[in-house]
Amino acid sequence: MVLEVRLFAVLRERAGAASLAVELPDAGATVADALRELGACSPPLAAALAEMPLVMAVNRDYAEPGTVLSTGDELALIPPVSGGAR
Amino acid sequence: MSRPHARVHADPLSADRLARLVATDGTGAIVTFQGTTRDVARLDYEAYLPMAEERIAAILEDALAAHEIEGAAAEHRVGAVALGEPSVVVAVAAAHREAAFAAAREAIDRIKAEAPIWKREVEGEHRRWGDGTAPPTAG
Repeated sequence: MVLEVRLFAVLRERAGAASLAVELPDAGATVADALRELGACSPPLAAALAEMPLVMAVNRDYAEPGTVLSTGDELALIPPVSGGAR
Repeated sequence: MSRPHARVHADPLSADRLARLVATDGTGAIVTFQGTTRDVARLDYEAYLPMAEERIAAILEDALAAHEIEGAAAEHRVGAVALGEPSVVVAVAAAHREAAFAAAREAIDRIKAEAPIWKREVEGEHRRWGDGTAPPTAG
């Protein structure tokens, strides 16, 4: 299956695109697989993955690396959010 | 109050307007919080919609369930927010102030930590994305 991954803020700028398509096995592919695939197809994203904590949202909920993906899922790669602790 | 009011949009925010939204005849205390642009000429905000609104609504629903409050509302701006202007406003109404303060504090802390919203500092030609923190993935 091919899934579209939306990119925001610093990731959108670094990748030079608002989304990227990743090709994954039809059954059993996980969030961790999608992250690996994103890094493989985009060197700027591979660098971002190495330097900042990134979280994947699946169908608009934050997901664990082990979350299994299905055709039609809405994926988004979430860079650190702007809040700050103070 | 049934569904909390949660919006992410590009228009100017008003704490007074949100305070009027949450107040009921049983309200004895209204707490409002405004987060404003400081130190730089402006901040540019970007959000993942509709997830940002959904996440803020869920946070306000949690606050309504956890505290003795009557209403909760929050709005966050996207686009350019100039120095001194609010980028986020939270309003909570309750019979008594203790619950209103506690719920408003919890709501703004979680909105900042969990809503998929990003800010970029703009000062002259200088542009810099805020450092931020990774949102929690469980719960």
